[in-house]
Amino acid sequence: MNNRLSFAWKFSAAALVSYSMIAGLASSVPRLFILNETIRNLYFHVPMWFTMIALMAVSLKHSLASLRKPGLAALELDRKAQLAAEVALVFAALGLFTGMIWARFTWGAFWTNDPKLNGTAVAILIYLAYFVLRSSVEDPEKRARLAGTYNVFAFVLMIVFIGVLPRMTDSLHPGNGGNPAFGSYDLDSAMRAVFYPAVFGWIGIGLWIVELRVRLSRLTN
Amino acid sequence: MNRWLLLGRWALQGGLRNRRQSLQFFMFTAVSTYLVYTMVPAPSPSVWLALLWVVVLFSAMQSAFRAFHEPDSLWAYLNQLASPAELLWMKSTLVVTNTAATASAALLLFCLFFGLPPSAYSLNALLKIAASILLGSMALASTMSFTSALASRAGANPTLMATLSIPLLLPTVLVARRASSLALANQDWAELALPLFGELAMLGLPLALGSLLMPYLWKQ
Repeated sequence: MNNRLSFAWKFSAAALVSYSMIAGLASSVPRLFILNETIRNLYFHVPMWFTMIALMAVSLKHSLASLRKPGLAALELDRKAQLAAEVALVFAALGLFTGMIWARFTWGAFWTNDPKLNGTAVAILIYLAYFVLRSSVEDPEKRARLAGTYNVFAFVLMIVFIGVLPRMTDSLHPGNGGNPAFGSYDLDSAMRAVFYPAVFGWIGIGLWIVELRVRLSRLTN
Repeated sequence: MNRWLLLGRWALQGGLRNRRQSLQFFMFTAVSTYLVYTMVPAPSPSVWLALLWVVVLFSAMQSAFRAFHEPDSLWAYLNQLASPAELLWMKSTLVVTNTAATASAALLLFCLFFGLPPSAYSLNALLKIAASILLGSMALASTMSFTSALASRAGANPTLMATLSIPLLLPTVLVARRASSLALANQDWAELALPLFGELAMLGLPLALGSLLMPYLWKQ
């Protein structure tokens, strides 16, 4: 039963991503001034951020659990937290890369001093700092405890930063500083039919990669 | 209550014993301000503000890094006296006070060396600038108190403290910069209220989170 369920969600994730890739490039999109064909980036860029946040939440969950458990169980949970954070960082890099390409063609520059962009830079820096902290502590139990507390502390501050603070300042990014989000009028129902499967599909793929990495690390350790 | 009084007295005595250290922070601020003045004698208002925040940030980091540097014997005594969360509150109070004093000194020195930008030539504007700088610097200090505790547990490495702190400080710096730039332009208090509230939130949130996490961090 477990095996069937496991197969079902992995197959669904792969199917949803394949569908969103094909439909994302081939389906029709609204003709909007400035955005033009770049609106398709919504199917590839935004799911990366959703997946990153989901995997960071998974990492947070494991860190919280590792702080409550003693001994080997804490170490196992800490390893899961680390692996989820690593995969989240890969999705952050993909989100940044796809966003920069979109920004080049829409705003005229790969990077601007925008609160939303600063937020993503902060998120990436926080998780790089998390790995620096891990590498600077030799004792595994101490490392699990310190990395776990930093992960929880950093995640909450990061969510405040990327979720709340950009709304306090002006931003070019859709959904901030008075700019409409895609959801309010740019995103029609045909786009929703591609966008939401892409989000769920990529989150599933992210979780699958984390699961594979956990299994691989069990074998190598 | 008695325990809090004892902790407060210990913190005050510690502060008085470390007068030389406080002087060092002040000297660091004064020398950095003078260095900045020799390099940029007539900055524009936005550069004035950016330079002030750079000086305040690094002075605060100096102060926070030393906060959890105590001999093991003293920690053994303090750990019997107070819970980890209480220790964090005590140390955070010290760091926040030190940083607020350093930020006030930096603001005074900036007014002395560079003068105020023309838009801020009024008592009302000066009050707004002082409020935004003080609240912002205290918010920086509250985040750094927790990262300082973390770095001290990880081997008290100053580079690690900076690596852990700077990404977490960026949000506070951005909110504080916004608040102080509105203050510098002498905007209404109503306009300033949201960023000031943001600074206040960035002061309280790390303290609240730190109090919850400190027992796990401080476990031997």
